[in-house]
Amino acid sequence: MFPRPHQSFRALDPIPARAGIGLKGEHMDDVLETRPDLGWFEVHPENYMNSGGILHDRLEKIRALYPLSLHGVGLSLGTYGPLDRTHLLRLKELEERYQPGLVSEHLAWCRYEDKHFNDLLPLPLTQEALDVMIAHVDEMQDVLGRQVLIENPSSYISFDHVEMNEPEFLAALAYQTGCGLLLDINNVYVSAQNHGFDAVDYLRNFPAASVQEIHLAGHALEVRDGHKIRIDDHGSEVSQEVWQLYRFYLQQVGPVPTLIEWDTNVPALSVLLEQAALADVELNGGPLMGAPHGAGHGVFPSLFGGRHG
Amino acid sequence: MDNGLELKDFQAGFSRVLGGAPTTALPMPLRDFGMPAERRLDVYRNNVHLSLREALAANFPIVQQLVGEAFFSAVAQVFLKTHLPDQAGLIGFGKAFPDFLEGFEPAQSLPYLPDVARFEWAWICTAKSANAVTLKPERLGRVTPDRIADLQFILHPSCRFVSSQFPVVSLWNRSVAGEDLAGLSFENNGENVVLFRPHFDVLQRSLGLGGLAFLKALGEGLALGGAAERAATYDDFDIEHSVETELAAALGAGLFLDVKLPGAVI
Repeated sequence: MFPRPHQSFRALDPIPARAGIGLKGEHMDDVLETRPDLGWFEVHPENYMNSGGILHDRLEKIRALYPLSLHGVGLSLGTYGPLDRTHLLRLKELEERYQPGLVSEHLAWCRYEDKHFNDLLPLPLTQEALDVMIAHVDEMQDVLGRQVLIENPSSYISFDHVEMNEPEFLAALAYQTGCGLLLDINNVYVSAQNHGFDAVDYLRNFPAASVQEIHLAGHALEVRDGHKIRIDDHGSEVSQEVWQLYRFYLQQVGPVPTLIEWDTNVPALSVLLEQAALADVELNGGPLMGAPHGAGHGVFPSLFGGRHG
Repeated sequence: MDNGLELKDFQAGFSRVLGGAPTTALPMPLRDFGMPAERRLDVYRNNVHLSLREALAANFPIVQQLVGEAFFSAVAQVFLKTHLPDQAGLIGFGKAFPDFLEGFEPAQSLPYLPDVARFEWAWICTAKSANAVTLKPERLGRVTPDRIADLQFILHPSCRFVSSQFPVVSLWNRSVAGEDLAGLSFENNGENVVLFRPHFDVLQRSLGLGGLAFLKALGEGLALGGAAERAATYDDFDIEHSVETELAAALGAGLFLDVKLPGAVI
């Protein structure tokens, strides 16, 4: 059995509208030693689905100092058929133990029958897929007893037959289940470049009122057989194009908790903190503003709903 | 789907694509925008292979160090064809890897490799086991001499045993320390070890064959007397002296979680 949550966790629950970073095992001691001025941390619950050991000890200590978000990658909400109940209950144990400010998962699938692929795989955006996602998000929220956020994926293939675009699909999902959304702006850019749609149009159509978290990450540009493709590898600094989209989006909707993700070729903690500091500058109105939160509101206010909550 | 295609057919087809089947395994057409769909699917095939190979390498780092990255990648490719993870969390991924290596023809020139993998698997299990407070030796202070043989020791949940006809413990420790393996004799040089974790660091305690049998028998629930009798069938375990020394060492190291005495409270 998992131990009871630490008494002091609850007071720190909400994720602030500041920058956070994805917490890697190799940075934990550094975090505890230096206690950087950072809004929050996020972890993949799949890396903590055992009960004991040093990672849990470190995470409990960090959780006592910072708000925490659990960002799942393994529940496979988009898989046809029943959810993996064992996995969902393990997530619930972690949720009760760490009292996270936010819990999120993906618009994706990663399991077929009993085979787990450990990758976020694409869903055809059809009414049937929407029905599957709605049923599974409902079940996830029922079991956890809380609202969850669903993230837009990056993708490398597109289908001839589509019944709705991704912002429409996610808006319907949020409307039907009451879930919130996690907007990954790097994923928007990667998918837009790979499939030839306009990232700004995508952001304009994205249901801003449901967005409670933003992800930023680096990606790789690869050339295969003379064809360019962008790979969402979380292995470098956030690209200038993604920073521009982020700035544009914040000008429309105001500050949103923003995570810097870096999962391959992980650099020193200081590099992630520098990226987070850049995001905090944007959250404070940009390098030229020096203004309070929300000062950038209203360039295209009619294109976005106001954010709530 | 409106056009008669269904999500389950798509996911069945995509699973075959990830295993190497061509685009035609999918029940619906993909767009070729800018790059042929077949090449686009390669991104997913690569991502799945790379992420699972990394997960395997993370759990078996010394196996990878001993065979080199290129060979490990080739082994992983064959292993993954028949051993995709059966759960989403990858902490325990690779349980079947040691037995797989046993039967993997290209690795037969390194006969100790499966046992190195068994050592690494045991290490992971110990590192990720539940935390638990170890038995304090003072608990035995009130046991009268006539009842000592009836004591039932419960092993700490972190305990894992590795037994090999090869010196895998030395091999593993030297590899971790980056030391030369040249002086290591592989003839008649078997090693046994118990891995355990009274706190956060994984500890190792070398055992003779008798000491190994003794602790394993206690782990199976045999009382002290029965465990000692079983261990005494090995030449290196002397029932007069070994019981006391092995028990004191195990208690001192923190190998036990609890102790019981039938019919008594201790």
